[in-house]
Amino acid sequence: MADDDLEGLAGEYVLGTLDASERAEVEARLHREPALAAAVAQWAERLQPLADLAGEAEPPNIVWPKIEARIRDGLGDRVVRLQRSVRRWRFATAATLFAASILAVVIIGERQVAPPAGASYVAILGGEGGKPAFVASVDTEARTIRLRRVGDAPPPDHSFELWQVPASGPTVSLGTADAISDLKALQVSLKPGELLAISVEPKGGSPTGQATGPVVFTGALLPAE
Amino acid sequence: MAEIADAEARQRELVALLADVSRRNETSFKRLYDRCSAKLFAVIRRITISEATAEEALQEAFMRIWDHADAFDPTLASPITWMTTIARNTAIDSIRRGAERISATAVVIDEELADRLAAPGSVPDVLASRQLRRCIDGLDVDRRGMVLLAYCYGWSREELSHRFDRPVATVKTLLRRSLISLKECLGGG
Repeated sequence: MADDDLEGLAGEYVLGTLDASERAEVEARLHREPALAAAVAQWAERLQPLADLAGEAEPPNIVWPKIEARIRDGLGDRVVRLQRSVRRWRFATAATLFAASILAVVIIGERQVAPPAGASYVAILGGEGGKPAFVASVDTEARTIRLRRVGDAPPPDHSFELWQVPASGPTVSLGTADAISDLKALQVSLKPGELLAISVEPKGGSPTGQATGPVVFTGALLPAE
Repeated sequence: MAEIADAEARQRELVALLADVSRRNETSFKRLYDRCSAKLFAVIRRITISEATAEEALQEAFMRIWDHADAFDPTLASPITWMTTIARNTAIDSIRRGAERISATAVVIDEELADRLAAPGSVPDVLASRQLRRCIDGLDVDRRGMVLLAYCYGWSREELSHRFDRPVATVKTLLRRSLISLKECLGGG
């Protein structure tokens, strides 16, 4: 539901009085509406003195070791590297400021090599925990990508969508990925080391041309031979 | 003047620490934690009922800071405001997930708090911005209570609706009118 009262919406977002669906809506809009993001930032600054009123309370000593363990669990860096590549294309505005809710995903590798002619590449796309969900194979000569699903089907009323995630620049949709096996024509050239990602989108794919839902699986293309 | 210079130096330090954290510097992250955890914990502690929930929320907030430090933009907000926003959102997420806030005991305790907060001139002098205090004091009693309970204690519209015996839709209207008054009072264009 659209809420035209941008100031009121931003103010209530900062107050914390929006309900769950309104909050989610604002967070989604923050990524693409700099005016709303700026309004939220201004409200946060305006009301910050009320947070300062809380004073200081030393947290128990146990908290830091838990945080330290989590950032050192080995997954963190790979996850964040992908989150950043995701963020580059998904939230390419200052609006990222208040968007701290991106799904954790796993990256396999980031090698960037020029594509030889007539090569074939494969990528195994997996989610958090590394369980494979899709296997992609690219034939650069035939300019096709075959995508085979080895994990669960998309959630009801949703589609999986496959994305090329270049090292820089916006991601490119490679179409929805709902079939158990699908051979798609490739309009873009893919290189070994390049990242593919799958997001959850409304049925039929993203309405905006960029991922709107969480990125659930990723994988890097590797030479097949 | 010295105080202002100190505050600016502190702010610059936090900006630099966040930049280090975005490059995965664990030493800087620990320093950031040492500098800010007590403040953020106090903010979170006001919102959650239980100490255990507060500890989990603090942990989660710092994980979000670690993961998203590269998204921090010093031209949009100060580091402490950015981190406070993350901490409050994390705490609010955690209380809205459970039903702990809806319990009768919590409402009784919080009603005392609401009365205290809603009393004119109750916002203490430590309030960094005297202007904000003046503007909040300028709201009528119920509206002042609603804004403070929402921001400081994470009350939802439903909880405010119970406390102030007004329909949820009215609470929303009153909150938005209060926000407009505050913005005008603070001179926001």
